[in-house]
Amino acid sequence: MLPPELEKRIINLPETDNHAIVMITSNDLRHKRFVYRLQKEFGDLVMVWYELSHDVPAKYTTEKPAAPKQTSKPVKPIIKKLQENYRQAQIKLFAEEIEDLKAYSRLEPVKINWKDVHSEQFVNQIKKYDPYFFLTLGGPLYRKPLLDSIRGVTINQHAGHSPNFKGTNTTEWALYHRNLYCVSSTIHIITTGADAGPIFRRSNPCLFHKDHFTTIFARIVALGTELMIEVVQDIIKDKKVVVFDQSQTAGKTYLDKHFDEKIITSLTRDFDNNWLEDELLRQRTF
Amino acid sequence: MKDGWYILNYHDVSWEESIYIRGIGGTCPPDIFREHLAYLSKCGEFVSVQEGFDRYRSGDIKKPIISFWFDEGLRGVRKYAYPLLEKYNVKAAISVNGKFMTGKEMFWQFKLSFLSQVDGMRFLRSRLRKHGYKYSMLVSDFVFDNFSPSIIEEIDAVYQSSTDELYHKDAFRVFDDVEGIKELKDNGWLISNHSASHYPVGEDSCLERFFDEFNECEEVINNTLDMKTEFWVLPFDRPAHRSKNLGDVFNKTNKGKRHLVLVGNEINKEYDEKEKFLYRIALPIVSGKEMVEHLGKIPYHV
Repeated sequence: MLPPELEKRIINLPETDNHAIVMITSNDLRHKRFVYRLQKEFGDLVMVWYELSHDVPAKYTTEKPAAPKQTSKPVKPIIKKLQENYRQAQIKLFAEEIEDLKAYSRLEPVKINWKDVHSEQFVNQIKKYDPYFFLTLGGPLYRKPLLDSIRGVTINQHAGHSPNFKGTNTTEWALYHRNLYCVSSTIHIITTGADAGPIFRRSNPCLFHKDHFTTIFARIVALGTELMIEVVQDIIKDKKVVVFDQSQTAGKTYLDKHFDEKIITSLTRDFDNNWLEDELLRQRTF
Repeated sequence: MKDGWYILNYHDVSWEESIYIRGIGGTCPPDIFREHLAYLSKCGEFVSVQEGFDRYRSGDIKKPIISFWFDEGLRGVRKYAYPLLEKYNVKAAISVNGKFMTGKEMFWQFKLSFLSQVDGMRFLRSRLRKHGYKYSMLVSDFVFDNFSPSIIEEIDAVYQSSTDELYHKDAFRVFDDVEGIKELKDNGWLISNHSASHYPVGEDSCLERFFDEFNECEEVINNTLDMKTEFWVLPFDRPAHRSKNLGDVFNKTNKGKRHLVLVGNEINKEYDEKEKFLYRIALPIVSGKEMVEHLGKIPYHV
């Protein structure tokens, strides 16, 4: 769907017969689903898949490693449990589908350290593929030299309702505020701001009444991938594209550090008390 | 599960439930649909609607046989349900509404859902007052119980003023188009007539439009898909509100061998040549295990 409350304008993307795609993702199951789905839909157009990893050493970045933290705090049990719940939610929703999708996968990931994406060498690597599309799921804020090197358009799927909820854990923040309307996925042009670029599409996931907030997050990512595919298909057909601009002063950008134990406890309490099932029923009673 | 022909009624299967559908519900996420199929495949034999119908008519049902029927021609069916059903080698049925498939008119219930999500209900409630609406009533119930062209016009007026033409046109992506339905037809799916605009033509408030609505959809299907349908699928079918004259009206208009497909939540077991009705089961979207438990409690149509 389109965002009904935002102002639209038309942009004219460069005409081309060469719609080469470069993808960059993190390395969870939802990212694999993203990559396999794109390969299924776009086949040989997908030139390369970069997978961000902290486990590979930085090849291009020469900055000194950060000083070790003075006190290294262990991960709190509640956070550790939540991370495992996210992992299990993705297995539950995607594992079987991914087995089906593997048949469409041609590419092995090229692993790259997070720091390297900002390097001149990486930008030069990307330029060799001459991509029209630069598609991302997960990753840092990309910088101007990389974004400017893309011939057509850079697109990100954000698991949140831009402009209201930008940044990280935006699904959870919308749920914390008990705002199901803002539990959504946004497909937007990548700019140097987090999730702040002009929007192509934004829509809501199909929720299951027994969902936990970790499975809701997985559903939103799946939805976002499908919306991204539609956007790319539309652009391939027609370079005259409608986008919806985000006001600089609308909404909020959430940071990792904001999502703490108290928020997790509140969310857990709501879901343990069947808030989702009740809210879905409320939304259908008008 | 008892022996008999179970026709399971779904609407959409999709990762998406936009604000056009969120207020109505009924979309099954693909992972849950996959789970349904896995559980159901252990309880009965999957058959196409045509095969199920043939066995039903010939009295040859000695175990649970299960068919799948999707209403409203929604896009996710081809995208998500079709590939999953192909893994079980079963063809399903899809009922289409002529005006939705061709982008001529948005489903009025989807308009209501949209308005409920974008704070448009306040305008509609105000307009419905002259039709007898009181603020203590639910708009959805009031519209059903007082269904009329003028009520539809009020809904449409508020909907049209809510956003612009681009948005309204884009909203039709929730439905599959002619090419998409044709692809299902070419791959062995049964295409059925769900009326032009999905009005409650099985209820007394709208029964006089029964023939016009189905006939209009039949013409669209004829012209776009080059076929005649054998099954007319009644919109909504609220059993408590089903008109007592429905059978008569259907038989008067039914010059061929068509059957009218209801919901009813009953199992088809003993075929009645005179009645020419089929019964489907519409369950809430539950887990695979819960679905099988629910189906175990469904009665036969008698």
